[in-house]
Amino acid sequence: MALVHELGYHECHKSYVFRGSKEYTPKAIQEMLGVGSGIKGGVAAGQPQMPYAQKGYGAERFLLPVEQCEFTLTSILEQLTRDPWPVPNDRRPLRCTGVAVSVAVGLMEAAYPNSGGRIMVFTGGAATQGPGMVVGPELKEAIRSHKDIEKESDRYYRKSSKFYETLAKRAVVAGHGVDIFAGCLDQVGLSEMKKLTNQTGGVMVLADSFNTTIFKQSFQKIFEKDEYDSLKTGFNATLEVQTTKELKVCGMIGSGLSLEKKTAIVSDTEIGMGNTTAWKIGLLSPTTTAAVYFEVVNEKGQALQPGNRGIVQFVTYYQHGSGQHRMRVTTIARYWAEGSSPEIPAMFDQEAAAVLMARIAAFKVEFDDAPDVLRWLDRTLIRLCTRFGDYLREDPASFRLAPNFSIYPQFMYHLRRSQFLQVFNNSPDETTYYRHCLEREDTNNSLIMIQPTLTAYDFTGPSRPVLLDSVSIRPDAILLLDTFFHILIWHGETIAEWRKAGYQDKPEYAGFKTLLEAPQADAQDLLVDRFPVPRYVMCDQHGSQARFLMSKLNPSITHTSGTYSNYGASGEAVLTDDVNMQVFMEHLKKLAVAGTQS
Amino acid sequence: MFTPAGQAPKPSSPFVGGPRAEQMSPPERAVGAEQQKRRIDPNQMPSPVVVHAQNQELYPDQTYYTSQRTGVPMVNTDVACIDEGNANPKFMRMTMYTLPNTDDLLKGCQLPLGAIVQPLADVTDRETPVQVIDFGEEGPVRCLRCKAYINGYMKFIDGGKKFICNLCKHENDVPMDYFYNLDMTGRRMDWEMRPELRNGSIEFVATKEFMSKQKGEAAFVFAIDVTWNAVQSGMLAVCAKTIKEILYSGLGLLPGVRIGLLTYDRSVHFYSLHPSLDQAQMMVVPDLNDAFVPISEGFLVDPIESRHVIEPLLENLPSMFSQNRTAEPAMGAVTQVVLEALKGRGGKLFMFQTALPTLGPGSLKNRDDAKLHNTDKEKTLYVPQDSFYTDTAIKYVEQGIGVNLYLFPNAYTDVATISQLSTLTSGELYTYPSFQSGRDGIRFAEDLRNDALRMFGFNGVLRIRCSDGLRIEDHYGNLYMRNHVDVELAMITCDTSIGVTFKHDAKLDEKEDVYFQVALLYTTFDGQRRIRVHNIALPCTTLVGNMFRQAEIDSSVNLLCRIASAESKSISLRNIRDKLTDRCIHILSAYRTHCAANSSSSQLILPEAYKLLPIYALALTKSYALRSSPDIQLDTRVSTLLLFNQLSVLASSRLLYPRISSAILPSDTNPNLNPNADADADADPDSHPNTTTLPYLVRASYSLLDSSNIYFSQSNHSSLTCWIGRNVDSSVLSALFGTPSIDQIDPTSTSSLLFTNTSPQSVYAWQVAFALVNNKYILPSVADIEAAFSYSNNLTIPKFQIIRQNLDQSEASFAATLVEDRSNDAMSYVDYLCHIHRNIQTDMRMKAVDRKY
Repeated sequence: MALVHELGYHECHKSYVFRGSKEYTPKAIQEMLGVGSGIKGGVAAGQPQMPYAQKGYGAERFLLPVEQCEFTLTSILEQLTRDPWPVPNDRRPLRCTGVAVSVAVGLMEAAYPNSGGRIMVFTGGAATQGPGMVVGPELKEAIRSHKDIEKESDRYYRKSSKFYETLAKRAVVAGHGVDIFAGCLDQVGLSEMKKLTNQTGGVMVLADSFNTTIFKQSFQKIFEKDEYDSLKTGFNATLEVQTTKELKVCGMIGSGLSLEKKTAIVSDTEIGMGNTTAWKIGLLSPTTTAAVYFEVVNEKGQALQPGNRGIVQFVTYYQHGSGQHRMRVTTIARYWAEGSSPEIPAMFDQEAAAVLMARIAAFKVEFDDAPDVLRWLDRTLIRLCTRFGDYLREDPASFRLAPNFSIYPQFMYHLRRSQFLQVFNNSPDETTYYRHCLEREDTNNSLIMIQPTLTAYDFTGPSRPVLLDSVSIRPDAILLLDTFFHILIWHGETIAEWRKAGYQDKPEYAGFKTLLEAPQADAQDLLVDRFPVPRYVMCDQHGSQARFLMSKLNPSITHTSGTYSNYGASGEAVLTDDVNMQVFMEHLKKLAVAGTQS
Repeated sequence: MFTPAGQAPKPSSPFVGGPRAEQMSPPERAVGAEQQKRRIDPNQMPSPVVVHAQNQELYPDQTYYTSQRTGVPMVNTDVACIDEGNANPKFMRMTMYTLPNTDDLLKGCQLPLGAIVQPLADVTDRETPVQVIDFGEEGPVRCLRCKAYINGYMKFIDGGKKFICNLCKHENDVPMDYFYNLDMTGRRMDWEMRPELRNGSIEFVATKEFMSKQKGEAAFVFAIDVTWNAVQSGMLAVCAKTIKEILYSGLGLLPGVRIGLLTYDRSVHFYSLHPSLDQAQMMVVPDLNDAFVPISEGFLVDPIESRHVIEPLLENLPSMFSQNRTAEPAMGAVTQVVLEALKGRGGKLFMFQTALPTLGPGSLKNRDDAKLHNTDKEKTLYVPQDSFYTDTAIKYVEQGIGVNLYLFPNAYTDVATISQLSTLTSGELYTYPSFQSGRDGIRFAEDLRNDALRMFGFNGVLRIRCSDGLRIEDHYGNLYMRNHVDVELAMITCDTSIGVTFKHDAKLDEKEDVYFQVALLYTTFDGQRRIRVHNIALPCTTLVGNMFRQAEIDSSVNLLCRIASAESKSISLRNIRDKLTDRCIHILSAYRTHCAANSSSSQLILPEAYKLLPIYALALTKSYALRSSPDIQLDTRVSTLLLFNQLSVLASSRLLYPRISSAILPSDTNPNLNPNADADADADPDSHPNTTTLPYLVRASYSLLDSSNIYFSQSNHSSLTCWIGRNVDSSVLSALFGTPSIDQIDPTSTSSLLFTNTSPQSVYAWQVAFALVNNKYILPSVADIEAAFSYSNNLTIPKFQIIRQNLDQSEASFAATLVEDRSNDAMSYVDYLCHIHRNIQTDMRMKAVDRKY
């Protein structure tokens, strides 16, 4: 069952109870709670911690400024206990996340429609009851895997996903965002609930429990304020794109929901959420990004005048953290160039391109088969190389790429191996979580997700970035890996032995101590801005946690490499069947130089 | 003027002598009713006041031994019954204590043949307690054929190896471990050691086969309507306060009984009362169509363990809902959630409802139509309009949950439909029309207190067995019957009573006794399964005279009430009234024909045991249930009809005829203060005011109330009505109320009546009040009263509703209880007697004519 606590009631703890197994219509919810009808807008808060609630009709019983309900709220939170219903041994505890979210959405859309708001879902396990259930209550029934979803063999998946999608739409239409905080070792059904966050601009935080720093710090970050004491969050936003007529909008990939605004500049080619030039986003944070794709439409016979510029204008209406309604306009203009003009490759931004491609790939893979997406990715890469590479036909050895293209294939290689496209070893929830983050973060962070950074620390000199390759594994080095989701400090065998021997505590080995501390200080710097807070891992070579590092490395040395090695004796074998980057590049060159015919 | 000496067969004092004075010639009381217009001296009319006083005097040591079988004391008589094989009449009271041997004999005189069974009735300290016997795994010895339980009337033969069932005459083997040698007279030598052979009433520990699935102690759930009406009328405040008092002052609930609390308006509010909480948690279930219990533990709690949670909650309830403006209390949904909450446990629901349920499940239509009143179609309004409450009630019965309905209607609430809940679950219905806490609060609080604190059992099945030749014809009462023999009682309190009528299957052998056995299987409040058995053996006769002599008026009238109540669903009220009067005439005329044929036809001759029949019949036709006046609300009528079906014998006798006693200390110097001084003088020649026993009661007629006196009137309510005359002496008022002026007495205050040890007047008034509510003849001592106030004995503390003559509006409803007076279109007692007499004379003449041809 789901409880709605009445915070404005001071006589005793009062809560409204909804049956967990039943789907309630929005109207029923509003009637039962006695809210709705003739409500004036105002910034409201989905969670009472947010001190901006204005009085809505009837809803002020549930939503009110924290100073007015502090005592009630604290005592409710203090008296929250584990659900006392007995749970038989062979069953999961009953959890009706679906009803809870639907009641919250219903309450909010009735109380504060079209005005900013935030619903936070804290869930400690999978929904096992009612609409939106992820798995049945019996333990003998296993929670769905990627395979089940692919084969559509899971009883609940489609139904639940649809249920949450409807809720997400309602929430975003009312201008509200939904966040999901999961504190569970097992899956909680993020995969089903992803639309709740992805369409509303809410955040998703996946932690092993609510006691972890991942949860605690991420949660606190939501309430960060700027220097004027306003939340750094924008509410109830609409993003609209206007272009000059030569440009058409293919679509957007990112948090938000299409407003289905079909203007003349809508392209027939659809990428991401297309067929519109405006999207609604319930919640905006300073790091929220949207990837917007354009198409150049050159009408026949109308050569573009050199010196003319194509103009793109982004108009973002939103409600500022202070309650003000604001509009932000960003205008970009670029000169037109002929297709064959050298200006085009010269202006290529390989990093942005990699991220945009990654988003498309991640978006596509939600609907298409992963191998198809990989092939599509390969084809575009080959086409790019064929088009912009510098080579002699049929001579792979002659293949060169300009510097602003040179690391693009490397990004693609890592993207292909990444958790965004490979579901192996990840649960549906984790995959959802990773893709969610990829859709939100800026180019820099996205690149880290695609190709993690690796920094080495040793006695030979200052810290330096090293290749994300198995050759970087050395027993006398400390490595700092940043995959965005994980920050990992890896101690080589020798370093680990020294550390265990306690050399760092001896004054004569102060240098060693400094060496040990350096990556930790750097890691802290990384942690500061990161949201959600990454998992922080310390590990030693051959330790179990070292797998996080090993899985990311380019397997230039594997168990099949045998005794011979191009790179000498250093490095450690990575146990994988994946091709390494060297092989990948060779194939690419071969195809690129051959591909001119096709 | 009418002179009794002229017509009465015994010209001496008309009130001396008892039914047992002469054996064969019935000492009929003759009251002349010379043609119509003659004024009859009211003192000559048979009155319950006089009859009760006489009956009390028959038991000078206030003890009745049940081995006498016949001559049981009247219900208002303060007598302790010693169980000597026949059950105490408090448990089972027959309508006649000598049974006719054939149906024809019974039909000839139309006396009702039946019994009122009150299996868990309270007995006083002086009476034989019901002993609990454990027969171990084998269970009590029973007849193989009719399954009757072992009792003192089973005859042991064959040296004790066999016994003959007294009910079906089957010969059974005595189980090995129950064998005992017989003495010379054929009685088991251990009979005195065996309570089941010695006593008529006994309780056996039930064996496994009688176990129910239910576990644990009973639970009481209080479901309180908190809509605008409930808040405004003060019902909620009185209710919360009274529940708090019930739980935490005095002895508290029966030990171990759990309680749950919920309130409801348009949604249902649960309260988690778990002892680990600092404060109650309120949980609102707004979804009426699919309501459920949102608390797994903490809904039903021990009131003592959770006192720190419950007490503040009850104190806060009125203020919590003081701003509640919703109407439409969701009664149907509440019945569903309580069913869910008490499933597998059983118990009792106290439901406080203020309006017609019009929301959620069990919604009802307002079908009251004034055009139907007083027509033949009126009876359709007495049957439920929809089956929701009936179906729910049957589910309650299956789970052993009883419902007591407290209704506070301002408008039509369709009592006929919703009362199914209480009727089928053996519950009770209390109605307080247009409730105002000032006027009705005391009565409501007292009703609720008595209801919650009395002895309680649940999940009962009752079965009555009788000797071959008789069978049970019908059961009357708040009960549910799945088949024709087992009476299912979802709950049983000490007041739960059932009426049964018997019918002859064959001619009975007048040389043998007739036997009855009531067996009730039930769960005690603390969760033990028991079988309570009451046995009665009665003589059988071939003579009408014996029947009349041993007829019992109180239970007969009670049974007539129940029959009238049952008939209301199929016959119009006017027909019921006429039938009742006809039956009265027929009975009296039969007596006339068979037992007093030689007396003058101008004399109204009444059978001694049945001489109160006319006044009770009159009171019955004048009751809210049957009277014809159009100003009676449909609900009031229906609830009174239902009341007639549930009342115990004691309650029905008081409902029909109130007991009114002067509260002022009688004194020699001021005979005016005692209007019965003359009557007393007859009974008590030395005319010394008696202050050790209850004073002579006053007849129920306004003209007999003295405006310089104060009276306590006891009707069916749990509180006493205190009527204060206009001209009461100010010193008396000061002594009793602390104020010399009648205008300054606050009629709404619960504690207006002072109890001081110093004023003899005050002590006396309290003694009388205690004697009335506790049904005592001897006035309780000051020490007893003081002990009662500190809850150290089990005397009930009287509560008063004060009515000041010509000052308070409620005097009208008090006056309506004075049944001897003429009211609306109903006859006065005198007129009614004349009417009856005339009809008897006509009847006699017709019979005489019949005989001629």
